[in-house]
Amino acid sequence: MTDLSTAPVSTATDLCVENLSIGLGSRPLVRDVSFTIKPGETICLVGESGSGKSLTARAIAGLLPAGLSATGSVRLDGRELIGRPERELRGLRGRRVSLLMQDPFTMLNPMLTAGATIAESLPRSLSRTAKRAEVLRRLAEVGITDPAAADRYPFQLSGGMCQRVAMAAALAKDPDLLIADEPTTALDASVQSEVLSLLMRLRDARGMSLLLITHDLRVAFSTCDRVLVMYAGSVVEEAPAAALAATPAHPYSAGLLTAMPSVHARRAKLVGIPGRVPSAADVAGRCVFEARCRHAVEECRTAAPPLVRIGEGHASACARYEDIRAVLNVAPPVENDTGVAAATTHEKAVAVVTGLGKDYRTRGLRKSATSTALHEVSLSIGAGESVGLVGESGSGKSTLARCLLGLTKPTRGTIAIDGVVQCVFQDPYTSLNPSHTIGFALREALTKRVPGSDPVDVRELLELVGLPSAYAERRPVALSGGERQRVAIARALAVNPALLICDEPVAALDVSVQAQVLELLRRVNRELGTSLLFITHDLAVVRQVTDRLVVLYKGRFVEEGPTGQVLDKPTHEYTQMLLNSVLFEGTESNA
Amino acid sequence: MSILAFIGRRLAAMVVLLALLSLLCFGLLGLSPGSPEQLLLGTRPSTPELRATIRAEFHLDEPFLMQYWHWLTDAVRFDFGVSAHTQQEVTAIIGERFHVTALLAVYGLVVALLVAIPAGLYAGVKQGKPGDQVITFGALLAISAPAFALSVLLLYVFGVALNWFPVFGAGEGLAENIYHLTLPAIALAAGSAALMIRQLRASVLDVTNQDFMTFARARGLSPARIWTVYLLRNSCLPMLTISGLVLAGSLAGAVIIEQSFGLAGLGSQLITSVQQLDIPVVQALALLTGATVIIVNLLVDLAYIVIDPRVRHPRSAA
Repeated sequence: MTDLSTAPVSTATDLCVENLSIGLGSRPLVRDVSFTIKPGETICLVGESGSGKSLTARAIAGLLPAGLSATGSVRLDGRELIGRPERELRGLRGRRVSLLMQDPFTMLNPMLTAGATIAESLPRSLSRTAKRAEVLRRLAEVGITDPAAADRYPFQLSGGMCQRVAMAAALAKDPDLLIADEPTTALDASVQSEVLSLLMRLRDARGMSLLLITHDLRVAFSTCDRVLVMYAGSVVEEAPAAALAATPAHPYSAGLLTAMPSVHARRAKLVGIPGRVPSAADVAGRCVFEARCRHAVEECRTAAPPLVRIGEGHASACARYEDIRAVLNVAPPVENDTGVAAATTHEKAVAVVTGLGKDYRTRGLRKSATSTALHEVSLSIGAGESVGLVGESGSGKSTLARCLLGLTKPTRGTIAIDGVVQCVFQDPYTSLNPSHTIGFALREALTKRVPGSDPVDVRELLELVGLPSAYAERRPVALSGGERQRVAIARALAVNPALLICDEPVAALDVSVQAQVLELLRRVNRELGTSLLFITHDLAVVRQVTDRLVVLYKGRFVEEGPTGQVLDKPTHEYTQMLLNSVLFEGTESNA
Repeated sequence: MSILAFIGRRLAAMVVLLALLSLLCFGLLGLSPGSPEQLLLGTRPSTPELRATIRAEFHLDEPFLMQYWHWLTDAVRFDFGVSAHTQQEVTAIIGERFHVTALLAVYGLVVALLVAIPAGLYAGVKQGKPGDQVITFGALLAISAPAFALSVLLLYVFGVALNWFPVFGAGEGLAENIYHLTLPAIALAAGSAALMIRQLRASVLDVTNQDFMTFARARGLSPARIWTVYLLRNSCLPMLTISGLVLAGSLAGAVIIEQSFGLAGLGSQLITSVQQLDIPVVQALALLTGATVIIVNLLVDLAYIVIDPRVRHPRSAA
């Protein structure tokens, strides 16, 4: 542990948020959010994109984007912050309340070294040497012990390092309350848990309060005292973390828990939440979740149900809680994936990779250097098989995919492919041409359909991926992320590929949507017999979709076997490390 | 070490470029209509003795490359011979005018930067507000106003009507130079300042939406620091490139302004010499402006190294 004895003892602060509403002109974005944070307490705001959780955090720090305005009350130790002039807020920011953001690469000024970024928040009165010593001490506090790191620029540091530097900078003025907005979302899984536990250690050592914003229930459960679940700009449930994990009291929370894939078991059916998140403006005067709720009745549409206390620190905004509480808490069935099914041998291989290697040459101001992204790897994917490829950024997993797709030429080794290979990429927002209708994109893909396959049309393709045929007329801009990813899958399936490579296909999607896309890919594999190569960093996701798992580390395969077996009994220490960094899953208690 | 190697490579490239440029400049003599000796005679009477002297002086009987070599070895010692028109030393003709033009170019650049940096920053930060609209409109006006019209307007208002500034010539001595060159510098700066304002405004719009701006505010940093270290440093890089182009462009391209303000500068000299087919002067001017453009570009690249750590440190160092 780092020495904190010289740090000022923080007099932790009471934060009281009452009926906080945020709007763009007359259009509401967040409605009547109320909660308190007691000194030293950790509160988590959980929600998917569009829930208003980040705006709520920004409003508390007085940092709403231009054009947005907040009403209601945010009191810090009894002092009202809403409506306070910028000059006075500036004095509070950093000292009383500080904000840590999501993307470590864009959060730091690229023109400043790590040391300078921290030093600029330190008192000006410090001498040069004292400032330097303080900077090094602050870096050590966030686990960076190498003094040379202080002279590095953000682009020379890894994501995890950048996030630590940002944390040190956010804490440089020793705030009483830290608001952390998705601080680990952009990081690799193993780094994620490191940074999160560092944040917890700092919170405990400094005795500060923490408001954590996340979309990930696992993060919430493993760090927080209390969780607020937000949906379409409103809080739908407030509960102690353990209570939310065990007995969710709102259909939305329950749906999120069900949709969350587990690293410990494979669900028989992945159930997402149908539909998409409405905007806060469209659900005024009714239950915000009503349109997607299978328990909704007439009374849900006529009035917005208030947050009602149902237990110790537990409140739900569901009008029908008493009627449906029994069915909210049903664990989804799991299926056995450790035994025979995964071990089935596939007679025919669609892709055989032998001794594949790839070197990259880097050129800069310095001499050109060669780095090896992929050492000699060999892999065979059978017809109808689903293979998972797990690794962190820089492990070479994308290089392998690019080689299989013929997008890059391997330096060594051979690839033999029987049939057509198609790919689904991570970002559904950039993988579709915005000026073409969905129908146009699919028809274009159909012209490349493998000769001899059964003819299909656009309508059948859309049906296959669970979209109404009317979507053929739409353009990508009118579709949600999950719908776009379905279209991307439909487009890949249009040519009737033997192998579908999925490169992090659900990493950019919300949990409730993720489940639907995963279920779709599973059906493609099981019902159409298309082989899958599923590339991901997420062990829970890979368990749901794949039969066989390959773990890639620094360009080499370090472990391979049936997915369930590898994840239950990992043999390589890297796999074990990856598994250990998977956070606590609330569903274990009721699974 | 890597930076020295980079500078070394750039210097080598610069030498190659200059050599190529000098060859082209020298080639002007051969490419011009009429025989070289006819051109070099200028307005002098064509006597056999004089022609023999010229042939000997310019080595016209030797092969082209040898002629070039002789010319080049003189040129690197700043000896470009004498004007075919006035028989004055070319260096003397250019030297005086270079002083005026260089001063005007630098002065113009300084004025442009002094106006454009605050205006561009302000317009970017106050996007869509009245202040931004006024600045954007002003920039549009400055870009579209013809240089001669602006010069005449400035001369009339500040020179004739208010009698604040002289209307003719560059004056003697640096202090007087600066006084005399104020109006021309403003006229010269108008167009480039407008260009810079538009560029800076666009980069500020981009930078203000970056996470690091919000994070800086979230840590309670002072507005002064946010404006300079965060906003300006991150949005000023394109300004460097523009400054280089503007500086190089004003050396030969300020003809209209030189003419309007009665300044004996390089631009007007170039026009006169081309009209008179005064090849030695044209050669020297072409080489001089070309060399200036190359050197200014090198300086801009070096400034990038100083200002932008991303250029200084390759990513692979991580």
